[in-house]
Amino acid sequence: MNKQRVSLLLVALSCLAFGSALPTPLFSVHPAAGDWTEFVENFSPGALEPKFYNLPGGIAELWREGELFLALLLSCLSLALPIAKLCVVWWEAAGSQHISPAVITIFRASARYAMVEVFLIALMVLVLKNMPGGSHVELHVGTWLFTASVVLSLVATQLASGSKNGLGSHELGVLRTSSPFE
Amino acid sequence: MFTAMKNKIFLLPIPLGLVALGGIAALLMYRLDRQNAAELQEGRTYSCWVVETEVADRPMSGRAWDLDGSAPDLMAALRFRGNTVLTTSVARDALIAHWQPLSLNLKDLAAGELAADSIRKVAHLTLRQGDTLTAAVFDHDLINDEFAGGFSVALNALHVGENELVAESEDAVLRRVLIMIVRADSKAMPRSERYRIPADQIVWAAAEVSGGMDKEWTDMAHEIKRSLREASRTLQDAIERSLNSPETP
Repeated sequence: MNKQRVSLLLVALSCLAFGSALPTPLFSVHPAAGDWTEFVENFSPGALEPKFYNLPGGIAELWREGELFLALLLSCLSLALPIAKLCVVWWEAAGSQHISPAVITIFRASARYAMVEVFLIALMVLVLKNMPGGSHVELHVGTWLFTASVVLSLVATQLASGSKNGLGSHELGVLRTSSPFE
Repeated sequence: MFTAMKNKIFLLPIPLGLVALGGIAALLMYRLDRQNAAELQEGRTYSCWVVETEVADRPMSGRAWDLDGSAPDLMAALRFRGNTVLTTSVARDALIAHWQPLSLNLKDLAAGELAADSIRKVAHLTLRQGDTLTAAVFDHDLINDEFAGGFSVALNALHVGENELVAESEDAVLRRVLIMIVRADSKAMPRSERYRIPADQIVWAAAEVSGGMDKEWTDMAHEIKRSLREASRTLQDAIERSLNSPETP
């Protein structure tokens, strides 16, 4: 199996992992009230109910709360941009002649902002890991699928840029340094 | 083959298709998983309580609910395997009554004890094949508890979460009942999940059956009245004991 085939396979798996990660929970917040946890649970059932978050759900909640700018920003950075970049890596791995240098330049510029939610999750975990009262955050399968998507696309980009059938050396260099999830 | 792909523009949307495919597959699996988790399982213990009931503007007679024109004083009871397992408090002057699964045990309180579990007013159920849950709603009066309506439903038709049972008939006095079921080993309430129980799985009892047509409903009314009297006596005893106690200043 040559590099191009492996690259295409990895991009395909990355796409599947990314798609699978969208509806599944990324993490859950489990509130607690220390020694009073049981008491609070009894007096206010539901107050300490664990809350699960996934990406489209989070965006929808922002939209409902009237935070339109944040919702649009998160949609762009976390949904539209990574998907568009996966498309570019696929086209590059497939050796398509249809990608213009302008598109490559745009994706290069925006690469650093993609997958910003991974950083948000990391921040959230760091902040809430040591919350008083035993409150904690648990990561779920969505986070691991996102991570898998990141790793697969990184490897695919490296393989694609090493392939002889792809774009020119300058464009390949651009893609190498602007993985969809870097 | 891959060289031939270069100029085939129709292959370009493949990544979008794969993302959509992954999303749909994960969504279906996730929903299936949640659906299975919400189904009641045999041998597991569940906590159950009546969250809300709604009655019609007028009782079956067409007159006002109470003589002074006020709304009914609603209370609900749950029966399981031939026993009353839960009686709610009385919601005064309400067409829509809402209850919390909490109550203070005055007997314990008078004795200076209060355990966290004793304040939960819930029924505990385990699922066995063929089990049914029966509920009845009454307008509590000093002289008589007027039966507003009730239903029986197969226990395995209910889910972990809020179960909404809505009467289809427009003439029904008892319009809607909301029953919450949670796993007994978890106090967290799955508030986001609400299940509308299909009408064909519910057997409704209309208000007129309390006149003696159905013994179970009238028995339930008597039993509830008896339990209310006992509760009242217990409260009175507890207060008297507390007042007569030498430790009372």
